[in-house]
Amino acid sequence: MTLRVPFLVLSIGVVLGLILGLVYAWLIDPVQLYNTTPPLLRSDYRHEWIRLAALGYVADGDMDRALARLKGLSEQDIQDALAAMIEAYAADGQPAPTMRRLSLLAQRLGVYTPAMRIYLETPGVSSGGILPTPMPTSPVPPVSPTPPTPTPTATPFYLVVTPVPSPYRIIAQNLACEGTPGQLRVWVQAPPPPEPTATPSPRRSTPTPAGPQPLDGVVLWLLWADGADRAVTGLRPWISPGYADFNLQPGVFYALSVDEPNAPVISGLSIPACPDGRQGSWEMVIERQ
Amino acid sequence: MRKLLLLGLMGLALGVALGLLIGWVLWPVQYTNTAPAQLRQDYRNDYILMVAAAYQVEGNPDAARERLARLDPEQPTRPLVELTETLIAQNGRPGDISMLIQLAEALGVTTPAMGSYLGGAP
Repeated sequence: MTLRVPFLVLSIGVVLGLILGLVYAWLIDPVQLYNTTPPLLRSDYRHEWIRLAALGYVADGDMDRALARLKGLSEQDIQDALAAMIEAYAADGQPAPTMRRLSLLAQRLGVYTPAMRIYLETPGVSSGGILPTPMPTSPVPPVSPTPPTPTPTATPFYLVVTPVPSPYRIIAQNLACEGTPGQLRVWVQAPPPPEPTATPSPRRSTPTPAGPQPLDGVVLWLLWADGADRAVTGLRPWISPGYADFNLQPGVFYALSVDEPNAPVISGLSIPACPDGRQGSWEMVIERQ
Repeated sequence: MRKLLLLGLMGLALGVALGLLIGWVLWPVQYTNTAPAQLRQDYRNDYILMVAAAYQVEGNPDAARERLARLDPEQPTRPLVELTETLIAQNGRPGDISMLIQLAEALGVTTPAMGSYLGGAP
């Protein structure tokens, strides 16, 4: 009995002290919220840290430093943030050197997006590289009443890519002198579906031929020596579900690709001049073969 | 009775010590979702350098000021000025100092030390 009472008192003291100590250490005066590291940042700040590290690499070109800044962050975070950044920058038409460095960093970190492909395949602006220029192979029927239809002069285009055959071809290209000048307006369509086997029917006299089908959601790439821009058809359905347009800059020569940035359907494209000397626009109809 | 009280106090002290050991060292409060303002000083410096680099690429001083405000909402440019002057005093990387000074100029917070650095730069 004499031994049990002191032990009980000691135990009660320890338990009470433990509770008091934990309350103080966890609630009253917890480990201070400073000296944290990037992986502990809130999700949006973590993504911002990754974007800033990537921009740091764009600015100073120091890969080791960029990798050190990203150390400890989860691969998923890095991939998500970088992929979103590259796609946004590509859609924004950021300069090619910026895109190239971002793509290099992303590649090093195992991130791949469609927008990166062209910059990884492009070692740099080359004075000797000339992109092959597949010109429309079929006769070009007018799609608007705007005559005439000048053919762009073959102009060297200095962005080197590895071209792949495109399943698309230009079936119409016209100069447009109305509306906003300096634009490239593109309609993408699928050919009309084949006529069903003619079955004599007394009810159908003259079947109406089905027209071409506008294609929405098609990615168009406009490339030039110092950058690239991207548009997707269908964002202006009131014009056509297959419509998209770009703004062109004077004195710049462009190549247009569909789906993939390295599948050009035309190059050497620049702002056309109207007969009265003003800047015009190009209107093109592209058909999937 | 006195002995028992002493034992109780000893137990209490032992318990408090154990509690603090567990709460501060062995199993401290784990923080996530922190903000840049809570970053360790070397990471804060890195953050400022990256903001200056981002300004080089994007050319947007408003975005840079907003990013700096995450370190010090009251005086967003203070960490920038402090780091720039520290790096100048410590002969930091010229590329870093140059980027920081350009951002400081864009935000209108250049100091005599920055002016002297620019004047003395080759």
